[in-house]
Amino acid sequence: VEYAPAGGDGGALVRAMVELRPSNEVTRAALATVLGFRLFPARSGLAEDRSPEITTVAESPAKTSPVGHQKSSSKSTNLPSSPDAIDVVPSTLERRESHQPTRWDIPDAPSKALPMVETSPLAATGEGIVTPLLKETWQRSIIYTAMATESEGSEIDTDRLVETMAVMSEVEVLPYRKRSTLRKGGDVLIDSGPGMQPFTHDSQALARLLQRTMPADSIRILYFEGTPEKAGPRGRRTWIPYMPPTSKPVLLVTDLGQSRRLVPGGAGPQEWLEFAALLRGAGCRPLVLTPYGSWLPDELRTAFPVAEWDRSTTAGTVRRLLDAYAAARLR
Amino acid sequence: MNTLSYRKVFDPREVDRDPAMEAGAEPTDEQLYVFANDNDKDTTGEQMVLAINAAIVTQRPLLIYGPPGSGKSSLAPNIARILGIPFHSHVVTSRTEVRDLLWRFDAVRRLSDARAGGGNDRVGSRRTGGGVRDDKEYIERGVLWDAFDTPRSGRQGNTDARSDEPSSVVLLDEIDKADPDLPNGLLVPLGSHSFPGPNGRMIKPAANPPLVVITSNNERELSAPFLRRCITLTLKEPTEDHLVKVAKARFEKSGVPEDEKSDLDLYGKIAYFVVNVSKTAEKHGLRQPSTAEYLDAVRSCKRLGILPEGDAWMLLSRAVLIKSDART
Repeated sequence: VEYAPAGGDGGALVRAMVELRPSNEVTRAALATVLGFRLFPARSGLAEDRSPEITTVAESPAKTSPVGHQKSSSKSTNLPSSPDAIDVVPSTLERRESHQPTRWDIPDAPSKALPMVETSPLAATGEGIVTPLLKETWQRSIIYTAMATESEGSEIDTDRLVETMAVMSEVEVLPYRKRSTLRKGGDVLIDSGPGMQPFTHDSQALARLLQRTMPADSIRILYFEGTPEKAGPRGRRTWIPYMPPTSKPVLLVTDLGQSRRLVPGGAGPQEWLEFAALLRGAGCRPLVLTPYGSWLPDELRTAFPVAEWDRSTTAGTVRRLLDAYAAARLR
Repeated sequence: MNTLSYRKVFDPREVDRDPAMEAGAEPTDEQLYVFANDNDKDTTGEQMVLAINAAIVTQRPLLIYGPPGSGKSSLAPNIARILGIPFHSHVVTSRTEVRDLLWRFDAVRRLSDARAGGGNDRVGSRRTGGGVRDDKEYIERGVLWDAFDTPRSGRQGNTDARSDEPSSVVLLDEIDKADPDLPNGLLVPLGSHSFPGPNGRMIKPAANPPLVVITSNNERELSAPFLRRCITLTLKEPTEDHLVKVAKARFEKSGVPEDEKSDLDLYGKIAYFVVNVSKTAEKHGLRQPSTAEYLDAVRSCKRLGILPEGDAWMLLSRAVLIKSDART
């Protein structure tokens, strides 16, 4: 038997201690563990040993973006407004990461008592990534919004039923209220081309999160390089022509070829426009998640709903993008 | 099971068997539970019991993770049996909605009654179709309403521990199959132990709230707010010793002297086979046999007189434990 961290709740701990009256230290520690607290041994003297910069905790997570070698020596981590602002083409791209608080950055408890630190179940979602590109607390709802579809639930839509009966029409099929669901699943296409190399770990973390959020048998995660007209599972060397799933969401994690000015490879706008038409023809609802959002030409923004792959993106942003895309298709 | 010391509301025996069982009969999953798990030498089953007690006194749902067949679902009816309280259960699917667990109004049946009748009968002050009955007869109560509405019963006596006992045990099985809406929709009913019923009337427990036991195969991650409200417990794969203990408890016939040594030898050999198959299957990402399948193998061997060796055993183990297509 072991206990998964569930996030501690001080009230529940107090209640359990009062009601169960643990009579020894081992039982008290076991009870705290059961209630989601992780116990660390007291670390006397460690605070004095640490240098001030280690204990500094970033006030807000920095925006992370692909950064080429810029002309100036600016240390800004923001993406230049356009590729033209970069006049020295780098040999490789890298993803910068701000210093984030770690377990050892948490100030020592003033007393020698065992400090009890709440543990977050979300900490496990981004293995290998200190700062996920999407905000940890929002990424599940962003994925839900991107991949959910409307389908009939089990509740009768009485408004529609009354409407039918009011005009004396025969009720042939009972109308059910529509609800958002992940049941239908969808495709995720991850670009593993050179422009997305700095985000390999982010893509893998995102794929893991998608697999843990979506029904296992309904999601298909495929990889491609350049253009997703040919794609395949991770690790496959020969990719096959991609067939979009009929009337399902398709999430594209890609630079849409925008890194071509920095590193060779990647499809051009025309190929992406053709791919957008392919998805439209299959009745798919695409969403592009890209770290290169500010570089995209208008024609690609019109063809795809494009969400920035950074911490400013919310489920609301994605909802608005998808609604606007649906409205544009109706026009 | 003596390291942890506290006031136990729920205090099972290491191998807890229903005393009301018919002598000589094989117990069902609801009549027997082996709380000891030798996988963790330091804790055995006592941390499991502690988690159950913590869930009872904090009135939080007990969320149980673990591989298929590790005893997640059978724990809940055994808690109810040991505490002597009613048991309710609902198996969650991808189509389950929160209202399936609370209540729903059967509008289809009411519409059907109205169209079939066509008269001018009255229910109270309202005129209805001929076949229509009172609205409350079209309300279908979900498992949580049933659990909240359970009067306090439990074991006889009025000790200190009994006052904390839940009114019933509710099992919500395989919650990870549901859309994320479902656990999120349960935050309020499970947090406040109340939910609005028909006409806005709040449905609350008549006595202590029920103990809600939720199982998950961890196929899908649950939301952080939901996890925060749960006491979590992870059951591990059973060891050889644990499997033997389960088989011994399961097939032991009270008062009937058995050829105990040969039986134990059989349980041990099959357990060894199961654990090794599990290790190989895990390495290759294949399905691992469960405790229930181990018991099927033991039962088959005992009844059919097959020893765990030779051709008959190879065919039996493929059919009962491995279950892969013989062509693959």
